[in-house]
Amino acid sequence: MLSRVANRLYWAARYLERSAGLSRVISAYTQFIMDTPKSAPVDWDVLIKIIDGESAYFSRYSKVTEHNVIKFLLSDEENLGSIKASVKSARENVRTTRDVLPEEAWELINELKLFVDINVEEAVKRRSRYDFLDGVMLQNLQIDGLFDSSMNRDRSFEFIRLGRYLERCDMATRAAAVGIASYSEGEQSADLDISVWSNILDSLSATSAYRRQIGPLVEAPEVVNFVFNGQDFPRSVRYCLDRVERVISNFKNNEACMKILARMQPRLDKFDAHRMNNKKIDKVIEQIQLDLHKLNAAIADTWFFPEVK
Amino acid sequence: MSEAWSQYSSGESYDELITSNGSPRVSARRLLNLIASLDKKELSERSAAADRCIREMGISFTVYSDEGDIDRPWPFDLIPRVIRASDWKEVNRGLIQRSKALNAFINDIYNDQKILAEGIVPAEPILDSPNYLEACRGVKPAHGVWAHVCGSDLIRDTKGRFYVLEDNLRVPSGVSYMLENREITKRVFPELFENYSIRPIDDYASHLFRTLASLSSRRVKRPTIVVLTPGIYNSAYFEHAYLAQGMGAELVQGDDLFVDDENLVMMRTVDGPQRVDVIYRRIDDTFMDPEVFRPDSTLGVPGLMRAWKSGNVAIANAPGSGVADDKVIYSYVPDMIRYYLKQKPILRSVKTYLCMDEKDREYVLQNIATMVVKPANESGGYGLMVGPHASAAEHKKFAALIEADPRNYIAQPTISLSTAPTIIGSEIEPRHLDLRPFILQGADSYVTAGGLTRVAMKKGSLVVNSSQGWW
Repeated sequence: MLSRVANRLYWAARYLERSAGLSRVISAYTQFIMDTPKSAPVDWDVLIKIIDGESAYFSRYSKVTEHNVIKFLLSDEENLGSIKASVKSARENVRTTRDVLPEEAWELINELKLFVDINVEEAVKRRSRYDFLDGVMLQNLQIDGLFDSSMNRDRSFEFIRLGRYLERCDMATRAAAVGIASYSEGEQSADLDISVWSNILDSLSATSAYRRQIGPLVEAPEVVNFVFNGQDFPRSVRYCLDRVERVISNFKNNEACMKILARMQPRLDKFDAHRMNNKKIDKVIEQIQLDLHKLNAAIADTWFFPEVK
Repeated sequence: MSEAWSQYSSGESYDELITSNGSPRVSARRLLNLIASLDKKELSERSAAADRCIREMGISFTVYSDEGDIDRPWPFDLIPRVIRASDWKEVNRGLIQRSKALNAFINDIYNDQKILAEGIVPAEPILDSPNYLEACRGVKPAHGVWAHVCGSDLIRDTKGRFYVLEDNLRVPSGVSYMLENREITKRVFPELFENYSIRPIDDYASHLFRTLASLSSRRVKRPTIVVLTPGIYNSAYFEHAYLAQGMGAELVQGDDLFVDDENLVMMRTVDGPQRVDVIYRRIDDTFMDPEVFRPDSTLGVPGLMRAWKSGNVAIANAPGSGVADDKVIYSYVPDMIRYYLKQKPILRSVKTYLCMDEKDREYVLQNIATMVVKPANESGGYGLMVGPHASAAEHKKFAALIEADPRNYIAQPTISLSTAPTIIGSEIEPRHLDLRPFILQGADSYVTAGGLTRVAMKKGSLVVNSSQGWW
């Protein structure tokens, strides 16, 4: 596997996962807002924070309105984290790695890009938004399914998995951060509380998995624990990191990456939302984000841009 | 249903599907009956299905332009072109014969130069050609083959006889579009494949793989083959990726490769450097190795020529193959066939006047209004003049160009290319076309069944070149 190709596959997977993850978050948040009374202290700027988009956003938009925020996240090509830009980047990466992917991959990603290009402007309106986001999620599932069911378990597949799980892990921590941010302890009604945390579960497609494993009651600490440490839930931070570690442990020259992963493990082991306040949880999220960032850099240094002796 | 075509006329040109009295040729009858049975709406529905298919399959080509969107969907004409197996058999034999003679010629030029010594081909235009690379002198590639992949352009005259118009021996492109066109046709006109027995073409990639594998100096079961591309901004990038995928080979760019101290070519992989046996290169000769050729090239691999000359890596097509890809050399191919193979040429060539020859030049200058004038070694239709379609000012301009640099121009009588029914808007009209089959030459020979047909979209135009965006 060429280093350059590995790099592109990894990013193709990250961008695809990002478009799906962001779709889930926006879809869930839109539902959540509709269920929330006007007086409630919730706002759309949470969604800007989730992608660390404050500076990009405020350099071009002055007001935080639903229209602006959704436009920024969906169709704004100058926002490199938007769904449109993510799908475009994913396609560019697949375009340059077609030779190692199943033939249908290129067709599916083209269909996804066409779907986004045609429908994204309309989806800024609430009425068309759900169908659009649902479409992006479903087409991503299709692509994931194609990879899972038709690729050799070779290096190409491994780098795709690496990108996918790393991005998924990142998205889980961000979704949890939304929950923490959109509610401050003890200030609002229990109804709103439930609604916030249901939203977090929805935004990770985790609601039914949570119900089956934890139970029907949605409570903040339980949700946070599930999102972080759900051992069997494929979008939890722990599960994703576990997969990342499994992939990396099979690679040559993995020492630097394994060291970072080893540092992250105890943080999750100690994590228990029942015994932590929001500030503390926020701090852990920040640390995990930082480690993910380092891990990403170590992966690039080791396998994408290695120095030849 | 044959009266459906009575309005259709291609003038004096030979039409691929319809005879001069307006009835379908025997081989095209079922195809044309099917098309005639569709009303305008159905036809445009099939056209739309083909367009959708092209977008979904992501078949694109790149046009050099100053604007942003460089990756364009592939223009495709719905109506297939039918060639009878009996006609093709001869062409197939003729193409293999030609490829063998051209390869014998290139090998001779870079080694003994017997054909020059015996005065069958003049030395001067060859050794002075920019396509002759002194750096290749004395190299003996596997099987004596230099041009492993050749794309020859064929045309048909008013009697329907095939002629070779040119041989592309450097980095001929188009084969992936031929393969994809077939895929689209299968999806859009599935009926045709029930009624005709059509020879499959989708095994091209495995033939290419076998050809390339036969060049490896390491005798291993599966040598490491790479496709070397200049990158995504090249107009044929789609094809490079397509072929790499078809062969299960790595698609590499120059900086994915390096040459080590033992003159081995290595690629940079996630598991460390890995040796490369065969490079199917899709970059031009002089960009391949900045140590030997253009020092400013970043597309190539420093040291590649060293590795190739020491026999550690095979390059297809071999550097220097372009020496036979020259319109002056073209006129000597029949002589080469007689000289190297002791055979009679099977395929016709177009009578070619060399402007460097005084008598020929005089003839060309006198008859410039009826002739096609071409630069000798430029590919593409950029600097070409079709006499009967050009203005007096253009005749004058080309006459001056010829006099200034006679070596660089050849002229041929204008041949009225064959036509085929083509969908133009919602009508069906005749358009001129050519045919590019692909010939592979390694330990064995192989010719694609049929080829890529390129259509001149402008009515009456005889220029079918793809760089102009018309296929």
